Amino acid sequence: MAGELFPVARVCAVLGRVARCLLLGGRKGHVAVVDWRSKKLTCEFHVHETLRDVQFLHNEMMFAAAQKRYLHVYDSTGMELHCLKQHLLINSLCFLPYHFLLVSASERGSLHYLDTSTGQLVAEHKVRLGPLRCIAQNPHNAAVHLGHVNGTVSLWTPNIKTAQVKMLCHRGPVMSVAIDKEGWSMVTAGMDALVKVWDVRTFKPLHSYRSPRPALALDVSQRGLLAASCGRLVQVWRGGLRGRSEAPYLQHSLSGDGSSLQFVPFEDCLGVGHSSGVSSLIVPGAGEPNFDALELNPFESKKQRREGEVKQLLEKIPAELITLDADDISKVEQG
Amino acid sequence: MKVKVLCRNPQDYLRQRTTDIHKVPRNLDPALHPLEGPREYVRALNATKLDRVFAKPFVGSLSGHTDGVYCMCKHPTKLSVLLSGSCDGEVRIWNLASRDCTWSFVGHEGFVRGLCMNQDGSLFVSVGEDKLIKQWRYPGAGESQEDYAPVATILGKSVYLGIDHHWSKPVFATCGDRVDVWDQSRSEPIRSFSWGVDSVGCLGFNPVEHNVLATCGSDRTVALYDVRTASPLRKVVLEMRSNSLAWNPTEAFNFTVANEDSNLYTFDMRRLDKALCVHSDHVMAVLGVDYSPTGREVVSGSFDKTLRIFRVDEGRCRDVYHTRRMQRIFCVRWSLDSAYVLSGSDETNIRLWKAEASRTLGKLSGREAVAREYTEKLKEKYKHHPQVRRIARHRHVPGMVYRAAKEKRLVTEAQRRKRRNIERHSKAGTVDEPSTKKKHIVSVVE
Repeated sequence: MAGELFPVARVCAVLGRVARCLLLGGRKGHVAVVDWRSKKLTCEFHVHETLRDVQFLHNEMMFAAAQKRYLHVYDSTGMELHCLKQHLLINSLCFLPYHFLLVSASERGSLHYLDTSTGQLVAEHKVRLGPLRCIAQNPHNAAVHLGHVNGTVSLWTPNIKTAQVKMLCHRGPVMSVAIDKEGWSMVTAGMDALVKVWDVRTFKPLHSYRSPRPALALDVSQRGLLAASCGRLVQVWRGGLRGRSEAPYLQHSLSGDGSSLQFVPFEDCLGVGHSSGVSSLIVPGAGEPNFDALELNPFESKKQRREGEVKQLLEKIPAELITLDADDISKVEQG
Repeated sequence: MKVKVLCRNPQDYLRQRTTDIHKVPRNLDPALHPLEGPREYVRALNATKLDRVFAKPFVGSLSGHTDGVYCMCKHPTKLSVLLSGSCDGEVRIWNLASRDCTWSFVGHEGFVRGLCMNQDGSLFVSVGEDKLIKQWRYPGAGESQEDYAPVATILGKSVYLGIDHHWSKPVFATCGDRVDVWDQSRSEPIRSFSWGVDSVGCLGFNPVEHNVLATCGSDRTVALYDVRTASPLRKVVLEMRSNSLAWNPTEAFNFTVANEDSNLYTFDMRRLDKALCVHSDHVMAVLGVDYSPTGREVVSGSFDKTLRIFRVDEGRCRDVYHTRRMQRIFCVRWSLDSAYVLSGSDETNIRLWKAEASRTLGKLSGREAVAREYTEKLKEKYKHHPQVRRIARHRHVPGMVYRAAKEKRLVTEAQRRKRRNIERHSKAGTVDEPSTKKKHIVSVVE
């Protein structure tokens, strides 16, 4: 990716759920949506103010941008749809696809759950653990993990006003959190240059790795590969979650400081956003080879996408059903 | 160096022609399908709501009679044929598929009290208020309606109130002031039963144990007889009179009676001291009852202008059908393909309803059938959840029925609360609350 387009400090690169579109948001306010396979530019515009995070909503037609003061929602053509003034000073965004909930973490320490299908603010939690910078979602049970400045990671659901779980993970601020797709393990990276792997069901530590620099971004692929961007280096660990691996599987030096990281779903690729632009790296064995077309279809036609959107809306899970135990609703109460 | 990387050819995943269906590769790994519990729950909730959206049970009505339809009879081998007798003596034969009348004639002067057909559908017998039993031949093609006359006519001594045909022999039984068992070729009854009751309202032969006969008498009894013996078997006395009865076609010993006290009682013939199930959801006297050919469900029509479908083992109804135009229901029948339910009512119409209100008529395509099976299973799995149960149970009923049901519920709750309080504040073992299944039964007489 051409670095000249983004001569800025940080780039946030986000891929849509079906890996068709790549959304780029530069720190100074440059936003672009690129069709990742054909490399065609879908839209490009400048918001002329600080842009902290961008996130696709339920499909690649809409995205949210956390700008200097408010949260803005744009169409895929670049047209601004909403300016959400209730969400002030948002640092990071996260989207729960099955609940249509946009989770935003603000500098003022509040966590907002916005239902993007009805536009209703479902929950607003005052976290009271300092500014919130680091957010991740557990895809298995839709819980939201926040990494805090005092080294703790807390787990949140929209129903309960306090944290469900608080874990002390690092000495120093937590820089990044990532959870694997099946919801078994959580990886955290702290300012103490450690990358730790935890069992997220029993909340016990599993193992830890030393990284050369504090890892600012983490991601876990569909096949369980762990990627960490530590300064100008990107390290990929294979088999690093279940057991401890001795050395990283792959290492790559970037031309700038890495700021965001995401494995491409269903492909053996890793996209890294850094200060000089965006790089895509080949990581063999990272992607899931067999996709389920009824869930996410990378080859969907326009009609399939539209009908899929209707079905997604019909099957939207109410926010009240988010619990740490995902199977709670199908269990029988004992005693 | 060779690097093995995932490489997909889009042509393998896209359809070749626009007339093809889309390719849908599947991967059932649960890692790719997160949150299956909540998602299934939402699907079950949506399926229950759609069930209510598509619940349009009324199919059509058969109109032609000029007085209330009193009795109906199903043809044993032809699904589309129905016989009905009305309160002005007219008997009509209907074609249910085209919903028109194929044959009509005046059978009796006064009410046609009962109709029954023999086991191959060649002959049918009608009884009326004019004390006559008339045997008719089922009209074939080419017969003229002017010359249509009964094969045999028998004049009795008293008014006959009901009739039923034996399931294997050429024998039928009538009831009036006593139960008479007739042979088709004789003009005198081969056997008569009377067990101290002044009138017997209705009777039915057991479809499995062919020689067993059950009758409902006006002294609030339900009596069982065996036509091979001269003496009756046993009888059970209930609190109020039973208007109609039906035998379970699959379970030889079970039958259901429709009672004046707005309940239906299902009994096991061998144990009459305790009802198998008390079905209580009607608010006025139940006048007609019939079993589904599967033996799992029962349809009942009542004086409160509603038709209810009960499962045999459940005390609350599964569904309720009503229309502004439908008045008191005298008789109900469940069609022999278990898909339709018929109600004959006071305002001269016979209505055809679907047995399952939201079922699509006709054949479903392969995908529709699979989708339907999936949603049925989901609804069953999550049926105990409060939101799902609330939607599945909700039915609109006429204002009179709603108010009467509410009052009935308040009264029974108050009575139950009082009994519980008495039991709680008495010495243990002194107060015994009878179970619902036993308390409506007065006695059993052998």
